[in-house]
Amino acid sequence: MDDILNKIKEFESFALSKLESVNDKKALDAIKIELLSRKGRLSEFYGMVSKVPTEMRPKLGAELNRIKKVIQDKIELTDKAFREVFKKEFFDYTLPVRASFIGHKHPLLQTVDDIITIFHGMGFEVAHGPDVETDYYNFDALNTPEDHPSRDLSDTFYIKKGILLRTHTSPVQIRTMEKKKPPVKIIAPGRCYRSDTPDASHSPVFYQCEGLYVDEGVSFGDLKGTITAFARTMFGKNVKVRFRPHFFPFTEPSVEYDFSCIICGGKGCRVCKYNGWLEISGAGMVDPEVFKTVGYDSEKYTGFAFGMGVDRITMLRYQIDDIRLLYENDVRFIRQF
Amino acid sequence: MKISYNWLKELLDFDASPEEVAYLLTMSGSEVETIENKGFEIKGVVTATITDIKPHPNANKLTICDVDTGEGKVSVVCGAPNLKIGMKVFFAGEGAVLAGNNKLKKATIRGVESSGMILAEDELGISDDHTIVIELADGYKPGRPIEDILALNDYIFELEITPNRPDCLSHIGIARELKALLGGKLKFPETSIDETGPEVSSNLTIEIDDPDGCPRYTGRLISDVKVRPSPLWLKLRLYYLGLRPINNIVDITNYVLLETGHPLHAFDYDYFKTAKVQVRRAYEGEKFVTLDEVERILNSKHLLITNAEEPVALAGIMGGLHSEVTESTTRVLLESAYFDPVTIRYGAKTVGLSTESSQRFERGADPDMAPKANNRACKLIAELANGKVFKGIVDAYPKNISPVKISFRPQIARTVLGIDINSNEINKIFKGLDIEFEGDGSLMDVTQPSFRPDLTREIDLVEEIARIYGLDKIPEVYRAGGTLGAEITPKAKVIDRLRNFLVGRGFVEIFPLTLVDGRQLIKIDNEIDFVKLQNPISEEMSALRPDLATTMLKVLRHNINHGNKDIKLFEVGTYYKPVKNGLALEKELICLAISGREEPVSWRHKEVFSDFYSIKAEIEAIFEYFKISDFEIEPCNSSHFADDCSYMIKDNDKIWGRLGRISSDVAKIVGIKQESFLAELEFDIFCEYALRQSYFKPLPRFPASNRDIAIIVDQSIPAKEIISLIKKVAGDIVEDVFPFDLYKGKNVSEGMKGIAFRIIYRSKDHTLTDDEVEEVHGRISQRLNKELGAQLRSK
Repeated sequence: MDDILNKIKEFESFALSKLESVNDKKALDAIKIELLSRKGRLSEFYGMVSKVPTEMRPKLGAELNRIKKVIQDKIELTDKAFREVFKKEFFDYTLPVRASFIGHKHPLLQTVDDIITIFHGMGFEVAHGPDVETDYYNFDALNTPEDHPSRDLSDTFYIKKGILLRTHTSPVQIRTMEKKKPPVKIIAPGRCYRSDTPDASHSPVFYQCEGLYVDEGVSFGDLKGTITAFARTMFGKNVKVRFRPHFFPFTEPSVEYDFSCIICGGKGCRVCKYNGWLEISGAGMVDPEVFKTVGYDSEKYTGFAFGMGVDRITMLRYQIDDIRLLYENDVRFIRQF
Repeated sequence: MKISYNWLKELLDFDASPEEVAYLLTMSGSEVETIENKGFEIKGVVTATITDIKPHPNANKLTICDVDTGEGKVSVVCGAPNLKIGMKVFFAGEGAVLAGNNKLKKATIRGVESSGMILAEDELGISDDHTIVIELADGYKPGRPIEDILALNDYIFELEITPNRPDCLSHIGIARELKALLGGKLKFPETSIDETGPEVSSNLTIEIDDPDGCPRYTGRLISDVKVRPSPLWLKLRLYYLGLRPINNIVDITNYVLLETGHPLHAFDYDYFKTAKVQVRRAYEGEKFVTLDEVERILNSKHLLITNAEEPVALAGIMGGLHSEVTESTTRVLLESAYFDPVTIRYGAKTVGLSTESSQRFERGADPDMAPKANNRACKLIAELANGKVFKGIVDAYPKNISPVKISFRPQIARTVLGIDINSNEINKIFKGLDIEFEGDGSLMDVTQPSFRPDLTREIDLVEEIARIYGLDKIPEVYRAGGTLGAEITPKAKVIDRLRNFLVGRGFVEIFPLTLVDGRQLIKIDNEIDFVKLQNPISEEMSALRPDLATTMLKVLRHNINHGNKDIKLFEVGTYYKPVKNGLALEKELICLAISGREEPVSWRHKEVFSDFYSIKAEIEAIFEYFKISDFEIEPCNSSHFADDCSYMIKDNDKIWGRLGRISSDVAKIVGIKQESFLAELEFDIFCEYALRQSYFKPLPRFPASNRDIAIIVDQSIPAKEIISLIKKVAGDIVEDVFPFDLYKGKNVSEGMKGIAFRIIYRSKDHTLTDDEVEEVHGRISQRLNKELGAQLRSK
């Protein structure tokens, strides 16, 4: 009897050590059959129960049941561990999910948003005017002579006599000043139209942003400060601004303003044509003639106005080399920004 | 406008380098676009003498010249027709460099070795002439470097002159600008003439019929003129500045034009049989052949110069073919006039000519310069063409052009510019610019210079001060936040929120051109009303878009054709409609478009292609986000949508949106090869809803009870009806009802649909008991069955 019990003990440690060393599910299943199946090793021991004396049978049976339980538990535990590992291995945190489309704002409108934010911070409100304008607001009120070349059919789109598509955002200056007494501090972003055949740097529809600040004591120094503050906020603290005298009918003195090249920092590169400066747009002190037209007292008030090409600024900041890309709306393009 | 650095140096003493000059000019308003180095590449060119000429053994047109270069004799093959023994020429030997950086090597020409070249003008960049070699005056000994004889090296500035500054279209004008910036004294060129001819007044009368068009006309006569090529220095100067040398007379008029900015015209005086110049307007339909051999048909607004019988020039624009100076001309009438800018601008524009002359007159020439420029040119003609200049000048000045007097308050300059400039500095600036003034301190009387048509007002003088003082010296003003609160309009805020929301939902924002193809609009809807352009650049861009769908579809086509097939696009933008009296109706729309797969291809979800429900889901999402619930969707007719998938969004009777599937007809017209869905909402109405203020509602205090109900009903019964019945029956304990399953086919007979709803029950004042919920839920089943014929599906 002790002999049998010893053999059983031996079997137990054998089974447990075997289960300990198993390292895959397939081997585990094989061991399970070897140990627990009807023709398995444990069945052999159960077969011995009838061969021992009757009084020993309960003890032997109990011992076998205990071992069976131990083995079954161990198998179950091992199996579970295998399942866990399997589950864990299937899970792959490197798997790209790509569950939904990613939206993007159009780069030009992102620039408009940024311009508005910057000027809003300096106290400018956004004003709007119509794309379809009268020649009065587009030209006359802006002191543009009757025979000025910009009025030609070859430069300006007309709808009918006296009605045209605005060639700049400057009419919004007039519309705003007609409605409101100083102080006036606005920017006016919007589409403009000129009869240009599309190419890499021209588009018949383009986007400008106008600025106007009129009050008592507004000087050219304010214009310089405002444009410089804008340039630095938009393109970084190191950007320099320079003002060159120029000519526009609706400002006096008139200037053009340049930013130091945002690509090369002013050292000279392809984008700035190796002169270190990027021509941005025009500006100036509002001409007294314009004040007269809107009924402002030019002895009391002074003001500045400026324009800027939003297309150009967008192209500069993202280094886009063809304006048509902005208006073609290929999603592969828009998704880059 | 091209300006020569050397020439400026002749007019003003200064030390500034070409780069410094360019900077100063740019920063004072005459932008220097480029600086071109001229003649610096030329090396190793010397004078030489031809000592012998022999025929070339293998070529009839070539000769072999023996040339004394000062350092010995060399043999040169040359084909020029003007070679003579003893002739002084420019010679370039091996290793010399010619115009265009052309390095000279020894060459064998038709079997004969040539150790250099006898040079023509083009090889030195003096002109484009290659017909003959340059013949120098007899005095030159061989071996002198070309630099001793001709100032080849110059810097040419290309300037952008603004239209208000005709004075800067001349070397004197630019030299004056430099004088204001650098100081010094302008050296006006010599005009004293040795008048050896008879009295001009007895040989020339000038009659001005139209003093408005021609306020001033001066004429001088020169006889015994020898018309021939100009000297090299003159050719070089003109050629460097972009003009082709013609002959000494024409070249002198051009030279004086570039020098003084005043256009001149030289006539062959033999063509003036009656010794009279008459200035008059053209007759309607009068024909005149200009010297470019084009016949011009004129009208009564064109101004003509005539010889009292027939026209000789289109005043201020271009001379006539028959009266021009030719090689056989001996008597010259030199015109120097002042023409009315508007008349010249009109004339130039209508005949389609823009000349050096017309450009200056239309911007405003200097009336005082007319006689001076005439004298200057006569002096040069006397010198360079051996002309006998008649005594005196005929100066017809029927309409005096008097300068504007400007009262100038220096304080205005300080206020407008924001600088603390004193009177001395202002005086210095005015003097530098040759602006005459009296008084200083608080008020100055300033006289407009005759060469500055742009200076008529106080503010114009402020600009002069700003330019010369230096814009870069004006301090920037940075103001701390003012009390002027900058408003952001509610509309702008809604647009912002909406754009952010849509981008978050995976939409790409587009920004198309607003000009569209008018023909296509009509093809899609032949009753459509849209804003047409009178002068479009093409049919493709002949109209303003009357909706956003038109441009959206164009963008869809582009993307689908370029392989971007799974796509969600949006735009918040303006559309345009014609109005009877006034400009145009300009309002905004929100436009969405969806095509291709609903989500990117991924292992995560099954591939689903967009359908009507996809676009509807987006509209629902927007409405949910902006808390808009009072709307209905109903079928409608719409030009862009398929008949069976075309819906409008309305609120009571207000239609303010549409959504549907692009019809196959429209897809074909536009060129879209993929099923696409589109929605448009009127922004103003959307905005009204979106701006309604939300207020806090307390969160529910008692738990909800969820029950599902699955029914089979006739497929024609809309979900809307089922939901409203459920809500009606359940009363105020129903919080929400929504369908969560929809099916056909297996276990559902033909013409029926299976639909399952989840009902969320919740009471405001207590926890609902199972019995309460079951009771209501049961009633709902009964009513659905009774009123809609719905059969309950067992679970």
